[in-house]
Amino acid sequence: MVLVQGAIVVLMVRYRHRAGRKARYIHGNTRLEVLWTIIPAAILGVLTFSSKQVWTAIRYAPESRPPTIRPAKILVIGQMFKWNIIYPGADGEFGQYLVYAKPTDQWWPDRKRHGGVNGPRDLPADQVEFEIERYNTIENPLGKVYDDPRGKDDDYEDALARAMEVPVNRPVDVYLTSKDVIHSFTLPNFRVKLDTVPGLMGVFTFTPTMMSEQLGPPGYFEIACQELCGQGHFTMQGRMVVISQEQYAAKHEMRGGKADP
Amino acid sequence: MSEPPRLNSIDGPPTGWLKRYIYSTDHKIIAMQFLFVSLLFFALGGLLAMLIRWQLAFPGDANHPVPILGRLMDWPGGLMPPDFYNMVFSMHATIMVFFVIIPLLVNVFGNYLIPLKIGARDMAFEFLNGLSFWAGLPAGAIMLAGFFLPGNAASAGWTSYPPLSAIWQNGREAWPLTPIIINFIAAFLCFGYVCAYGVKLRGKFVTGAVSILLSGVAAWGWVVGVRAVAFDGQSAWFLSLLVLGFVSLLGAINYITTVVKLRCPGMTMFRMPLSVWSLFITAILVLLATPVLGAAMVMNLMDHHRLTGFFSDGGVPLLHQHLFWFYSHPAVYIMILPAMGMVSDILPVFSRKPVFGYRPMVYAMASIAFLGFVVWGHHMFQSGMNPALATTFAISSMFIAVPSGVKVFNWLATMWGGNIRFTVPMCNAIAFVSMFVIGGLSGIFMASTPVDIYITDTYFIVAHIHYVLFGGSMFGVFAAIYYWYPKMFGRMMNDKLGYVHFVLTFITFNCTFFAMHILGIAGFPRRYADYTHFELWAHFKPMNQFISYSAFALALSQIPFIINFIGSWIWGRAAPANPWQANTLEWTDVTSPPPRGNFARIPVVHRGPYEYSSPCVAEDWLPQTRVLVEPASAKG
Ligand SMILES: [Cu+2]
Ligand SMILES: [Cu+2]
Repeated sequence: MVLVQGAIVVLMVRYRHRAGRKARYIHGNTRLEVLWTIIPAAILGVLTFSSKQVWTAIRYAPESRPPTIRPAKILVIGQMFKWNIIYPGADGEFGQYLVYAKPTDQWWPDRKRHGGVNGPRDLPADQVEFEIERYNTIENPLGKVYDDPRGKDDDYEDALARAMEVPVNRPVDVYLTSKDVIHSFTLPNFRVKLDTVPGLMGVFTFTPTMMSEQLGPPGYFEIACQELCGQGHFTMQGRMVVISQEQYAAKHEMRGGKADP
Repeated sequence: MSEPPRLNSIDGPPTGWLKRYIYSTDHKIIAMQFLFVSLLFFALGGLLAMLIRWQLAFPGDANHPVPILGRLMDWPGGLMPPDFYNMVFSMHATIMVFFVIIPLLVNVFGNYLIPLKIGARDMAFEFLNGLSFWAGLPAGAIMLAGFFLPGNAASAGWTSYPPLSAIWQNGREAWPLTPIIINFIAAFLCFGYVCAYGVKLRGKFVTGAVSILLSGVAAWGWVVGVRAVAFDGQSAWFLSLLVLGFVSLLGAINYITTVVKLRCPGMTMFRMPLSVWSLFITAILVLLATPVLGAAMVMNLMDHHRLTGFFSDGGVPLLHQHLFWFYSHPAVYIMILPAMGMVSDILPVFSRKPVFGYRPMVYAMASIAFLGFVVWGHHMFQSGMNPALATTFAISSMFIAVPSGVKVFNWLATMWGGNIRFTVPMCNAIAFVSMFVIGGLSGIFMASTPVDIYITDTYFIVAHIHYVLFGGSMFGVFAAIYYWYPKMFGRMMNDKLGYVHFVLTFITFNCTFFAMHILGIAGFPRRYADYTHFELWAHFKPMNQFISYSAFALALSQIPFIINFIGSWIWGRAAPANPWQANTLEWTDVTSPPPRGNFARIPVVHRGPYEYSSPCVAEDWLPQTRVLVEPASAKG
C-alpha cells in the first residue's frame, strides 16, 4: 500500500505538465498485464490456504480433535440484552432448551401444577395467555425440556446473565444459540466471535492460557455483543473468568455424579 | 441551431415548458433531476452522520447535549436515546447507499453519458427513462415517511436482519399528516408524468384537467395502499426499497438496450469509452441482482405483517442474509464500477496519454462483475453459516482482488510517461485511485476468514466501507462532476474553490476514516451508542472525539463545493464545447450544453477514445470522429 501511494506521488511529480512536451504514446503491454495478474493471484492463493488452517482450528475443533482430549463445554444463550451461561454437568451433554409452553400443551414442561392445572390446555380461556406468558418468562425462561435425560445434571438454574467461567489450558467449546434475535458472542481479548442465531447452534473453540487472577485487575475478561440486537445492544456486556482446571472441575463438572476422568 | 431532429419514440420534440424541463424525456434533463435529488439526499445523509459522530464523541455527556435536535425532540438532558441512535446510523447508511451513491453513479452519469458518448440521440426507451426518475420520488417519500412515524424510522441497521427487523416499532398507529402529504405529492408527481404522456384528449384545457384529476385520484389510492402496508419505520423501509428496485430495473434495461442497439456508425464495442463499458456492466449487475432484493423485501414485508414466517417466528434468519447479500455484494460493485470507469476516462485526458491496457481494463471489469456474484458469503463468515461454506467464499473473495489490482496497475501505468495536467477533476481522480487502494487492501483482511473473526462488526469494517464508498465512489463522483459540469450546465466551474474543496476534503476525509482502522484493530465495536462502560474501549473517547471533529470539518469542507456548484451555474464563465481537449463524442461533436437530440448529424467514429499524443497529428489529441487524410501509419 505504501508502495502504491509512493508510486502515485512519484508519477505525479515526474510526469507533471511541461509545455511543449508530448506524452508517450503507448497502448499497453500484454506481458506486464499477465505479470500483474499472476503475481497478486499467487500471493492471494498462499494467503487463502494459510488462513484456512487457522479457520479449521477454530471452527472444526469438536469434530477433528482426538477423543482423548476432553474439552470444557459451555452453552451460551443470547437474549435481549444479556448472556445466559449453562454448564452441562458431569455427563458433558446439554439437555434441550428454548422450547416454550404453548396453549395447546397437555402438561407443563416440568410436570408441576402451575396455575392449579396440569397443563395450559386446561386453563380457562381468559387466563391462558397471561399464565403462559408468566410461565415462559419467570418459571422457565430458558424453555428447558425437563424430560430430556441429558439435561438432568445441567447447571442452568442461575444461568441468567451470570459470569462465564472457563478452565485454563484446556480447550473450551462454546455452543451458541439465541432466544430472540441475532446477537454476536464476542470475546475481544481472545479474538473470537460468532453470531448467535435463533434456531441454529454454532460452536467455536478457544484455549485460554492464563488465569484471570494472574493478570491482575479487573480480574475478568469482557464479553460483548457485536451484532445489532436492538435498543440495549451496547449494554449487552458479560464477564468471563478463567479459573484453574481443578476449580473448574469441582464447580462445574461434578453435578449429577462423578466427572469422567 | 435548427430544430432538433425527430426522436425515435413518443411524438416528436415537445413544445411546452412542462414537457421540456419538468416531465422531460430528454436523458440530459433526467440526469440533472437525479443529480439534484441525490445531492439533497447527500446533505441529509451527511447531517445524520454528524449526529452519529456527536453521539460517539460525547456519549451520555450532559455537558454536551445534542445541538438543536436535543431541544427540538425534548430529550431529557438533550441526550440522544439509544434507539434513536440506532435509527440514525441505520438511515445514514440506507440513504447514502440507496439514495445517494447508486443514483449518483448509475442514474445520473448513466443517463447523461451513455447516449452522448456512443453517439445516440437519446435512450432507447425515453418514456421509461423519465418514469425511472418519477417513480423514484415515491420510493424516497416512503423512506422519508419513516422519520415521521410513531416509533422512529427503521432502526435495525441498513442490513435489516430479521428477527430484529420483524419487531414492530409501533402498534399499527395511524399515520400523522406530514408523511401523508409528502407521499401524496410524490405520488401525484409520478402519476402526473404518466398522464402527461398517456392522456390525449381534445383541447389542452380538458387534457390538463383530466390529467390532474386522474393523478390526484391515483395518488390518493397510492397513499391509502402505502399506509396499509407500511405502518412502522421498518415496513416503510422494506416497501421503499421494493419500489426503488423498479427504478433501478427501469434504468438498467434502458442502458443495456441503448448500448447494444444505438451505437453510432463506427462505434464498435471496443471503441466505447471505459465509462460506457463500466455503466453497461453495472446495468447488467443491476438487472440480475435487483430482483433478488425485491423478492427479499416482499418476503420481509409479509413476515412483518405476520402473514408468513420465512425469516422469523420459526423461519430461517440466515435466508434473509443470503438474499440480502446476494444483492448487496454486487451492489458494492454497482457503487464502484461506474466510478472506476469515469476515472479511467479522466486519467488519460489529463495525462495526455492513451489509457494503459484498454482491453485488460474491460476484462477486469467483466471479471469483477462475474466474481461479484459468488462472493456474497464473505459478509456472513461469523453469521453461523456452515464454516465450510466460509472457506469457499474466502477463496472467491480473495481472487476478486486480482482484477481490482489489475485496474490499479493500469491506472498507474496510464500516468507513467504522461504529461499530467493537475486540474480539479484530475486531482479528484488521482485521490480516487489512492483511496481505493487503501479501501481495497483493507478488504483483503476481511476476506481472510480467521482475521475476519476478530475485525468483523468493528470499526475496521466502517473504515473499509468509507474508504471504498467515500474515498472511492464519492471522489469518483466529485471528479466526474468537476469534469462534466461544463458540459451539463454550459458553464465553467471555479478552479480556486475546486482546489480548496479538494484539499480540505482529502485531508479531513483521511483524518476521519484512517483513525477508524486503529479503533477497529482494537476491536472497537460498531453500532454502539455508548462504549464508556467497557473496560476495553472506554479510553478511546479522545480518539473518537478526534474522529468526530475531523468529521465535522469534513462536512464543512463541502461548503466550497456547494457555493461552486450553485455559483458557477449563475456566474460561471460560458464553457467552450471542449474545454479539456478530450477525444470523446460528448466533447468533440456537440455544444455545451448539448441541445435536445444531442447531435445535429449522427457522428461517424474512426478510432478508439484514447488517442492522446498520437504521432499522427501535431496536437496531443485526436478526436474519435476526425477523418485523417493520410493513412494512420504515416508519421505526422
Ligand atoms: Cu445482542
Ligand atoms: Cu461484499
